[in-house]
Amino acid sequence: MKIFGTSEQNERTKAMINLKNIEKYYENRVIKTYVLRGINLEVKEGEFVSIMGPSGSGKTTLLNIVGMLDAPSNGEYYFLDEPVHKMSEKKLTELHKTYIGFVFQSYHLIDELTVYENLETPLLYQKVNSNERKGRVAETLDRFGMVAKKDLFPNQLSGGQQQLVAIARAVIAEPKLILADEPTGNLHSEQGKEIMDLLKKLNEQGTTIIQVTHSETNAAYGNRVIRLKDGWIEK
Amino acid sequence: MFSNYVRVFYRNLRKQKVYSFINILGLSVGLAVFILVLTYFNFNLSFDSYHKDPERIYLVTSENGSLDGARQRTAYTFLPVANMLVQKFPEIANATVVRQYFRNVVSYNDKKFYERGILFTDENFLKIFNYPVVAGDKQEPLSHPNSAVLTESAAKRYFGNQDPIGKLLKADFSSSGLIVTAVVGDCPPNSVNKFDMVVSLPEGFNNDWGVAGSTYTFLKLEPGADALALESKFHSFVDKRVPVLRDSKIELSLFPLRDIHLKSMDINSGFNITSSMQFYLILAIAIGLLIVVSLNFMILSTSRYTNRAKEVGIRKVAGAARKDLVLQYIGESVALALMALPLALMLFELIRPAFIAAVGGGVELNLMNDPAALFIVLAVDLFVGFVSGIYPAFYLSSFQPASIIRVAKPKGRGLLSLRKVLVVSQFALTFVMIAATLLLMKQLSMMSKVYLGYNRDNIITIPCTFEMAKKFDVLEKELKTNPKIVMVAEAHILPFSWGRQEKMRLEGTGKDNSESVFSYPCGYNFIDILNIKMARGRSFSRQFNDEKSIIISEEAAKHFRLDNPIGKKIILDDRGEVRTIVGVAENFHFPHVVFKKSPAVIYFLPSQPFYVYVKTAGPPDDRTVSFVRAKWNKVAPSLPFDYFLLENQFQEQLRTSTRSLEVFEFISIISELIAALGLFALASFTAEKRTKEIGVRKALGASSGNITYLLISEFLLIVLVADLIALPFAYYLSEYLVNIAWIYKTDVNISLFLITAAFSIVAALSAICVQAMKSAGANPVEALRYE
Repeated sequence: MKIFGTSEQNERTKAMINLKNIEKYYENRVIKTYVLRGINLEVKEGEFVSIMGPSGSGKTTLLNIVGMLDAPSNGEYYFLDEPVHKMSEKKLTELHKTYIGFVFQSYHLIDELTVYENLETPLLYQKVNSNERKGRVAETLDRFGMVAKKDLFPNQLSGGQQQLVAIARAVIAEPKLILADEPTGNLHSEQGKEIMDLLKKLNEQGTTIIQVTHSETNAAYGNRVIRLKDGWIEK
Repeated sequence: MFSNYVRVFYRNLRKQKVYSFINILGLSVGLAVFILVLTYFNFNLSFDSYHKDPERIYLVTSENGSLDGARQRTAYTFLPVANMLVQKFPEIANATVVRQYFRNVVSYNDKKFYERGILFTDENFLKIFNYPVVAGDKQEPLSHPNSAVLTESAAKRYFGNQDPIGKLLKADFSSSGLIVTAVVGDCPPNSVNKFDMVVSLPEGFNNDWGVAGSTYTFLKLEPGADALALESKFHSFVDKRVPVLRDSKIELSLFPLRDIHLKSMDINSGFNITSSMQFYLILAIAIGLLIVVSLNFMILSTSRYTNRAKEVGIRKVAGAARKDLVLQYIGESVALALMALPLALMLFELIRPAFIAAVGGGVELNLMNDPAALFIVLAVDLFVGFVSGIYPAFYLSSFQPASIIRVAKPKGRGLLSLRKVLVVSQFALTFVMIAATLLLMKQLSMMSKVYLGYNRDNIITIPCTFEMAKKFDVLEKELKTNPKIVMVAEAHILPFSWGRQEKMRLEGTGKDNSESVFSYPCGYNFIDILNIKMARGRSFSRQFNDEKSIIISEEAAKHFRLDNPIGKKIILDDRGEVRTIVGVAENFHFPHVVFKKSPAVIYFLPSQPFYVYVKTAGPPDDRTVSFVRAKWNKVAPSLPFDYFLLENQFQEQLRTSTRSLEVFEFISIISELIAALGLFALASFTAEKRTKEIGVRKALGASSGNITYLLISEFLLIVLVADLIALPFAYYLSEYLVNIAWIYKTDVNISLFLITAAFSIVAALSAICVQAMKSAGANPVEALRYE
C-alpha cells in the first residue's frame, strides 16, 4: 500500500478530505433540526483521526458524510481535491468503492453470506477477476487468522470475530481511507484492544483512518482528536 | 457476482421457508388455473380448424319470421338447395348436404346399437371435410347408395378386430342393409358435427323437397370468393328460381363454419356449440384470478424484501451501484416466479381431469403442442416476476445507505402502505368474483326449480324408434299390470329440447300469413303424464280419433287472436294438414329455460315415438326398473333397452349448458384462498415488525385479548374497506349478469353481498387469527429481548 508517494518529511502531505462549511439538518414544515453546523475540517493522507463527543452530537452523521453514505444539506466537500458535493450518484459510488472502507459498531455483515463470501463482496462490485479475487480473499483470511472460519456464517461467530471479518472486508479492497464507527463499542475490552491494535497497524502501513469513539483510550491510538458538541466542532 | 446473488437468493428462500412456499405455491396455483382456462379457450377456438381451408367452408342457414315477430334462424335447409346453388354460382367450389336422424338401430349379427351419430350425406362430404380414410375406398366411398363409412371406434364396436370393409350392416332405415366401404379416423373432439357413421343418401335426393327437418347444407367457396357478395345474390335467386323457399318467405344466408361453435347460439341446430358469453365469463374470471395471484405474489415479495434493507445498505457501502441492486432484486423476483412454473405445470396435469369433467367432458386440453399458449404462460409468469420485483427493487435501492444502516431496522413504511393497497385491491377483486359466482349459483338453482308448466317427477324414460308405435298398446297393457306404474306414454320429444318450429296459420287465411310456431308431436298420454293442465277443452284421448286434432297453448291462442279456439282449424303448412283445435293448454315451456316463453302447439302423431315414458308412484326403485326391462325385452326384442329419469336428464342438460358455472365456483374459491394467504403473510410480517410494541404493551398490562384485538381489527378494517370499495362494482356486474342472459331472472339483493362479505371476513379472520394469537400469547420478555 504505497500511498505516500516518493516524498518524505518536509513536503506538505496532500489533503485527502477537505470539508468547508458543512451543514446537515432535517426539516419538516415546522422546524429545522441541525445535526451539523459550520464544519470545517481537513484530514491529510496518513492521519489517524478520532471524532469524539456526547451522544447526538453528530459524530456518526459526520462520518457518514465523509464516507459519502449521506449527503450534506449545505457546504462543500473535496475528496482528493475533487468536489464530492457536485458528483452524480454513479461517480460517488465509483469513488467510494475505490477509496473508502467502512467498519461499523454492529459489524453489518450480510447474514446470508459466509465469511469468505462477505469478504469477496466488495471485490465483486469492483469487478476484480476471479483468480485475483480468490488470491486476495485467501491472503486476507490468512492475514487476519480466519482461514479456519471461512465457511461459517456471521451468526456462528463471536462479536469480536464478526468485527474482525468486518475490518477484513473493509481492508480487502485496499482503500486509502477507513471509516470506523465505534468499532469496539459492542466488544469487551480484550477484543476491543485487538481491534484497535489492528487499526493502528493499518495506519502505520499508510491507510488514513477516521474513527468515531467514546473512549479516551481508543482515541489515544490516533494522532488527532476532533470534539463535536451540538453539531459544532469545539475549538 | 452471479453466483453470489444466487447464493443469497437461495439462502433467503431457505430462511423464509413459509413465505417462499406460500409465494411460489400461490403463483403456481394461479398459473395452473390460468393454463387450464387458456387451453380450454384455445380448444374452443380451434373448432373445425383441422379441415383444409376451413375459412372457405360455410353453412347455409334459413331465416324466416315466427309468430312472435322475431326472425328465426335455423341451420336447416332443403335437400335440393345445395345442388341448385352450385350450378348457379361459379364462386361455389363444392357443396354437400348432411341429414341427421335422431336415432336408429343398426346391427351386425348379434351386436345391436342405437346410433345417434349417423350422417346421411353425399360423396362431396369427405372432399370438403377432412376425415382421412384409413382403410377401404379412398376415392369415393359414398358414391353408391347404401354405402357406409364408419369411424375407427364405430368399426371396432361392430366388428372388433375383423376387417370391416365389405361387411353388411343391418339398419332399420334401409331394407337392403349398408355395405361398409371405408373407415375414417374418429372425429377430433373439436368438431361441431361429430359422427360415428356416414351413410350415402339414396338416389334422387336432390329433388326431394320433403321435410326440411334436419338437413344441413355446407358450401366450400372458391379461393378469394367473397361470402357477403355471394349472400347478397341469394335473395333474387330464391325469388326467381326456388318457389318453395319464396312461398315460405325463407331467406338463405351464409354462416362461417369456424364460427359455429362459439357464435351460433341464436341459430337452431344440432351442432356442438358453446355459449360464448359463458366462455368469456370463464376467461374473465381466470384473468381475475391471475390478478389476485399476482397481487399476492407482490405482497409476499415486498415482505421478503423489507427484511433485507440492511443487506441493501451493506452492499451499497461495499460499492454496489444502484443498478446492481435493482438488477439483483428484480432478478430474484423473476427467479422466484420462474420457480412457480414447473409446479404450475404439475398442478395443471393434476387438476386437468377434474376440470374436464367439470366442463362436461369431450374436451382436449393440451399445453405442450400449443407453442403460443406456452409462450403466453411464460410471458405472464415473467411479467408477474418482473412487476413484483420492480417496485421493491427501486424503492429499496433508493435509500441512502446511512439511513438504513443507522436505523438498522428497515424503514418499511412505504412498502407497508403499498402492501395495504395491494391487499385491498386483492380483496376487492375477490369480493366481486365471489359475488358474481354466488349470483350465478343462485340463478342456476332458481332455473333448476322454476315451474315450466309441466311435471317431470318419477318418469322413467326409455329411448326407442318408430317401431315402438306398433307395439305400444301391448307394452302399456303389460306394464300397467304392476300397481306401482301409474301411467305409460308415448313421446316424440323430451319436454326440454330446444324445440322445433313449423309453419302454420288459421284456416281461412292465405299462405302469406303462415308463421313459425314451436310445435311438438306427441303420442298417447303424453300431455297427461307431464301433467300439463288444460285451460279449456280436452287433451288427446283414445276415446276420440285425434289423428287430425291439435292442442294450442294459451299464449298461442292469444297470438292467433282466438277468443274461442275450440273447434277452430289450423293449417300445418309443412305437413300439408288441417287440424282441429280440441283444447287449450295452460302455458308450458319446452325450450331451454334460457329462452323466453313462446306460443306452442302440441299435435297428435302416435306413429312416431322416440321415447316411452313410464310414470311410477314415488321414485322408481330397481325392482320396478327390472320389471319394465323384462316387459320391454318381451314386447320389443329388437329394440335395445336403455333408460334414464326425466328429471335427472333435465338437471343434467341444465348443468351441461351452464357447466362453466362450476369452473366459476372453483376459480372464485381459489382466489379467495390465495387472497387469504396474502393476508396471512402480511399479518405475520406486521406481527414481526410490532414484536417490540407488543412486548411493551404487555409489560404495561395489556391482555392477550387486547393484543389479538389490536392485530385483528387492523386487518378486518382492510377487508371491510375492500368490500365497501368492491360493492358498487359487484352490484353493477350482478345486474348486468342477470339481465344479459336470462328470461327467468333471480333477484339481486343485499343478502347476496352480505354473504359475500361474510365469506371474505371469515377467510380473513382464519388467515390472521393464528398469527395474532401467537404474537399475543408470547412472553413479553422474549419480545423485548428481540430488540
